[in-house]
Amino acid sequence: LDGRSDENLVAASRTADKSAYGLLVKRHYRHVFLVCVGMLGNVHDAEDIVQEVMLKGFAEIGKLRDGAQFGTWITKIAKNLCINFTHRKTRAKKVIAERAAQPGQRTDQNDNLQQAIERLSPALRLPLVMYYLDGESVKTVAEKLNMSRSGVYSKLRTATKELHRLFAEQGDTK
Amino acid sequence: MNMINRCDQIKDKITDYVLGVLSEQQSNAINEHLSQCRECKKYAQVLQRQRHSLVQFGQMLDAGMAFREDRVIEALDRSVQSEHAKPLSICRPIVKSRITKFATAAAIIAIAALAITFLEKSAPTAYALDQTIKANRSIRYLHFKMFNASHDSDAKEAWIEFDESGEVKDVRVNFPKWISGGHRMVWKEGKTQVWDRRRNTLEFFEDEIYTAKVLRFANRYNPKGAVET
Repeated sequence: LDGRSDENLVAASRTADKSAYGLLVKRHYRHVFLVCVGMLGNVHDAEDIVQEVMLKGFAEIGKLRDGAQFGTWITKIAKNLCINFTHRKTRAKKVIAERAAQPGQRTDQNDNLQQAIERLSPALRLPLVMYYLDGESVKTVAEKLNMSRSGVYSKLRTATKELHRLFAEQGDTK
Repeated sequence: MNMINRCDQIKDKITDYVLGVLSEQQSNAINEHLSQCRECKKYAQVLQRQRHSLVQFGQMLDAGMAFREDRVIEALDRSVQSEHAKPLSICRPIVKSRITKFATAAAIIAIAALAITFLEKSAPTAYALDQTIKANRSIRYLHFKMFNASHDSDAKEAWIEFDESGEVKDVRVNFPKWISGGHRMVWKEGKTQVWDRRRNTLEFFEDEIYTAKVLRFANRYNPKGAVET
């Protein structure tokens, strides 16, 4: 990846340099995507939202005063769009016609895991995704979520137990 | 203290043990208990597997990351292109009614054809352009598959039907299993049905935002756009 700093790339992006912004996308996509997975619990929704986030970022790059803060700024946009998306989804007319209660239906372990992650509360899901899926240390998760380290451990502990309970419900603890 | 109470306390500690936050001394105590208690040992193994599955899931997401990034960059390219094409949209208020719209489009095509005929004196080129426009307009159905290098056997597949004027009529998209466990989405007349393969649920949406999203996706591949921008 290009060795230029975020600050330089942001400055270039302000002049509508799409390739410079493309490098910023490549550099920050993974983190923003995993934050969205953590907040929404659904990979497909996260993909759609991150695309919206990155396009919005390019359109509003002129509003970012300190280019070095691009990562924090774009993550903040992502969090706001995730919150809006969740509200929109809740408001949308939604009718569950058929519930998954068919015994003997085959689902693989990955399906069960995604389903269990989706069912966790966002407060538990985000630290869990950042720690396990993003591979961040507890210290970094604590800094990024503005929590204490013991607070992060507590969330991870509860999330681990909750996942185990959800797996048990799905009959997938063997 | 009996064994059951001891196990309840130990299970709390096993979570910390799996997270790797215990001191060496505490870990040794847990190890000792696990060597004697089959139930706690099984619980620890399940949590270890759970941890392993989470890490593997993260790796699976990482495998598709470059593909996702490229899709965003492609979307960025398209948005920049449409920004450049914005001056054309000044005409938009003029063509509010469908009849006016088609009359204007026909006039533009006629002028373009005449200009090519008289300025370039090449009637076959004008004819070819006209034929191309007509051919593009006549496309009513699109069916395509989108492959991902990491999941080349399971593609995202879409069917789009356009009406006579080239507007999107209905859309169906099959999202493969590697995208949130698989979905099937059918959109028609502003109503959307989503069948979630993993949960085996059918959801109905009547949402303008969702409709706008579906139309944005479908119009990206609308052959009519190939001769209008």
